[in-house]
Amino acid sequence: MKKVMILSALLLSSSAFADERAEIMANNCAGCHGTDGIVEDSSLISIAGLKAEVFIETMQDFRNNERSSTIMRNVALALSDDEIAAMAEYFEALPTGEEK
Amino acid sequence: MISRREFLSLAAAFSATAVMPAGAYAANRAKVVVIGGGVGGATFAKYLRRKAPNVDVTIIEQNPIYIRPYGSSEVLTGHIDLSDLEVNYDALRNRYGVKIAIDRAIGLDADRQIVKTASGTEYAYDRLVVSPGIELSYDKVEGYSKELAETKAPSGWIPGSQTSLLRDQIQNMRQGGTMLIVAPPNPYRCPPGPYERGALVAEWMQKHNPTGKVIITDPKNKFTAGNNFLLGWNRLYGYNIPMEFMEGMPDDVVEHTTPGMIDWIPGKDGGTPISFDAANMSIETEGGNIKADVINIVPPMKAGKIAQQFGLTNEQGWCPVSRVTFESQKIANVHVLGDASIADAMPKSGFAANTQAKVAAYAIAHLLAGEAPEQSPAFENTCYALAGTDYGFFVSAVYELRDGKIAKKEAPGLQDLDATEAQRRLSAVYQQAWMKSFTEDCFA
Repeated sequence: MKKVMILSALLLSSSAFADERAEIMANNCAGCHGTDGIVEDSSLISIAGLKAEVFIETMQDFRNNERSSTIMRNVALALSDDEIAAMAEYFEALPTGEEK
Repeated sequence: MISRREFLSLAAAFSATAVMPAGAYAANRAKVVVIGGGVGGATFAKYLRRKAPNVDVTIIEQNPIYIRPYGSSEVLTGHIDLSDLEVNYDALRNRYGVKIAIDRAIGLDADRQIVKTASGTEYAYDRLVVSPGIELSYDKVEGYSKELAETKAPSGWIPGSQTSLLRDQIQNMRQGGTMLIVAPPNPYRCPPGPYERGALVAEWMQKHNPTGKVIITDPKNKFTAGNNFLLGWNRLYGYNIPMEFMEGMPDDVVEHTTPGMIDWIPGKDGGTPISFDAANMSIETEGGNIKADVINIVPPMKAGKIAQQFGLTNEQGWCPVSRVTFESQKIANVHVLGDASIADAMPKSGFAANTQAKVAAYAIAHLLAGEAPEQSPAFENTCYALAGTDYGFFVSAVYELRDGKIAKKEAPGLQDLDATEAQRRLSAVYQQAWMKSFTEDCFA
């Protein structure tokens, strides 16, 4: 009986995991871009509410050296297309500083 | 898909959670106790409360004010004051409802899941998180001791009174004097730190002690972002880059004909320190005796003392953990974060501790709810470093789990050696901005 419950719990939660991985990856940006993508310092950029297509295009530009950067080229090269897309979706859904 | 073996280990984790007496303490309110309110502990507490607001989180921390170690070498040159490193726990307390107990953990009853403190309080936990940072092994350098570090030859690696003492020694040094930095063996907190410190002091000397000199003696033959440092030193302080590091260096590298302000002696050239002679203010190295006016010894390190006391460390003094939940491989329901933990390819940096803490917070939120945590977490590290106030560069990497270990995802990890002056300047701007943004993400 217990085993059955465990199994169903695993199956139920597995679909939520994909979303959570995007959130976990997005959390890694917060050291520079702020908790929930909002940072006060003006030399760093808030990324909360950024349109997903802009996020993806910017990351591609970093990768291709078409946009000057410090660490972001390396970060963009380390992330897969799927990871970038998932993070883009995640940040787009976050409220910007003005909305908060 | 999860393998059968993973499923079985998950199932084991589940049944362990199911019998956990969370309800024994307070109805449905799980208790998490965190020892240490540094980067790892603070970030963990904040992100756990955001993720699982019903969980009761208490940080046990000795000091009411945290003094951040990252950026603390900037105190030595007067760029900032020691008080600028201070961070309080107000936001954790008021915004996130984290309980802060200014107290000292002294004992662990792992069977009853209780932490005992110096004040005589007992804290029951469902999950305990130990984020104790590092302990400096002063006794690993013959002739050196904590007492000498506090009076004569400061390490200044954990900021505080040793940092002030080192600043005063540097600033009061005779004209033409020498500062000797003794770099530690791997692994240690803040891999670029000793070399950035040397550079910042050399830059300060250019203005205030132009005939002064910095020598870094080192048991290692290479170090993090080494090529970026050596290039920066060549451009700024008259350092001559050794032949074996010349590959990939840009055209403007100069062969200086006069001695530079900074020198680095790697292990293969005799840099390995053997002993400290406090009376003569000298360091005996494998290559000979080096006398100096200011001696800054960064000794070997191990996990913070409480991790050793609790039996969480291995023979090398670091804590083996699950790379998915950061649960100790020594004691069940106890997790270890940050510098103290063994995190494979990740450096012992604040940024690393911060991203580990978030992964652990999410994993523990799931475990407390009787769910399995995300099995393929991701981590990151970014360290900006300076060769001068306007001369910055970085190390950065994204990490994932590979064969149960934390591994770096394929990408270049360093600033290009042919980075433009504008890029180097930008790295320096970001280095300063990061001090604020990072502190906010951890503590506010």
